[in-house]
Amino acid sequence: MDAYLGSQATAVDHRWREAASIYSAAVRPAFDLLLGVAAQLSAVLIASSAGSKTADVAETILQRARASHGEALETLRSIHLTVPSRHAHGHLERAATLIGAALQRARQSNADRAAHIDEILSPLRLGWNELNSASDALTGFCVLNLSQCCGAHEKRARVPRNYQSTGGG
Amino acid sequence: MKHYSIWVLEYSAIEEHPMSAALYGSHNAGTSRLPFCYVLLKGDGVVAMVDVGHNHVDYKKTFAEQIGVSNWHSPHEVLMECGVTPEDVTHVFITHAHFDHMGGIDFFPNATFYIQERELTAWVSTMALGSRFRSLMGGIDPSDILRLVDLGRQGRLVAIDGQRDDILPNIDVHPAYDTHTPGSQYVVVRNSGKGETEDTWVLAGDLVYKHENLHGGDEEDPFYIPVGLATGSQTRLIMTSDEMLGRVGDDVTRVVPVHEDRLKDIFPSRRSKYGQQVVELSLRASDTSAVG
Repeated sequence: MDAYLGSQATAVDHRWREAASIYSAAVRPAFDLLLGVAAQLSAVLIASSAGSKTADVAETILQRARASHGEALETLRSIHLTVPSRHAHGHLERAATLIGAALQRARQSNADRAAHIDEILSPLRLGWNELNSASDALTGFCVLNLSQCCGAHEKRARVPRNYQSTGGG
Repeated sequence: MKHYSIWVLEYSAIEEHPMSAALYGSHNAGTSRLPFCYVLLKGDGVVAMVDVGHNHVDYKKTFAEQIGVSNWHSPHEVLMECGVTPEDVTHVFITHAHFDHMGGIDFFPNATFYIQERELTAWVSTMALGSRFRSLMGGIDPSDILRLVDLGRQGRLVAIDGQRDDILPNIDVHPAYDTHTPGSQYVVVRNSGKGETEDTWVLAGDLVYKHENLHGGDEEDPFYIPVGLATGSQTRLIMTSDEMLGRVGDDVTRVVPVHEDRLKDIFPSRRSKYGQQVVELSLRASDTSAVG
């Protein structure tokens, strides 16, 4: 009896892991896009703060950010949700909403942005926190690109020892 | 007379860091210990820092899993080794915008931060290029950029355009454009207040990781090896090494790399209760030794 329950538990564990890994692969582009939009918006805010030296590129950055945000939203909406992915997905949806709000408020002149920086900064920071929470919930997701600094020593993500693919997907 | 007490304080470390990251071209040359440190300066009415480390709380999982950063302790714990709190810090010089140099901004509520304007404008320019160029901004945390925006809003951010002499009494900052990062800078402390090369220290940020970058492992016939990780020019790194050494009369030990594990062997030092290096470069007559 114990052996039977044990094998059932293992099968459920495998299905859970499988669903989580399928979700991770599907949502990865949206996560990366939202990170990019947040980084682009941070650059727009610095451009607004720094004045004329970088003001001319702010509109170019915003155009890219709007396109990426739209793409991220489409990806998030297209994903089939399962129980293991609901928690992380909630963080990503909130991140998309908050970053979208920041993006919307950034649609003004450079001078106006500088004058109303708080209205953009607040939702952007909250959105970033949601991305951070999503990265905590998703193995291998990272908000920081560590490829070109003194910490650059990226190890390969470790697969748990007891993990076995059940095929499919 | 010394104007400043100067300590190099370890706050975290990577125990096995590839040599190729520290020394350009040293592939398959094994690993070495890479301490993460910042510099504390105490002068008359001034408590200054060069860089502020990272906020491990944000990245604990990532760091542990991906790059092996361990034994992180907060600025409250680390600075207390010298009897200082983060709230005491009045000025911070950010050598460059990487997470391990400016991620700890929020720990210092009373400080004004100084960074090269070029380091900020490069972030903006790169963001305009698109995602294929994202490796140019590796190591920079966008949330740190947001922290800078917030500092600017509070009037606590000074964007420096080039060299600035006597930014504090007997302290200068020098740009090192297109080297480790687009707008790196280093800090020069003229501690005797006399000639530039007399009792002078160069606080180098990541323009050099180790003294070996300055002598190539051959102290009799030295040559420069640039750091292994840079988005700028290796040639510019070499020229900047020469410039920094020139400011200290070619005394390699007076150029201080914050990732050099051997500082503890060169200067008076001790291990803190956290097992971290406390290195004393200079001590004013009015201060108490932190390593005695």
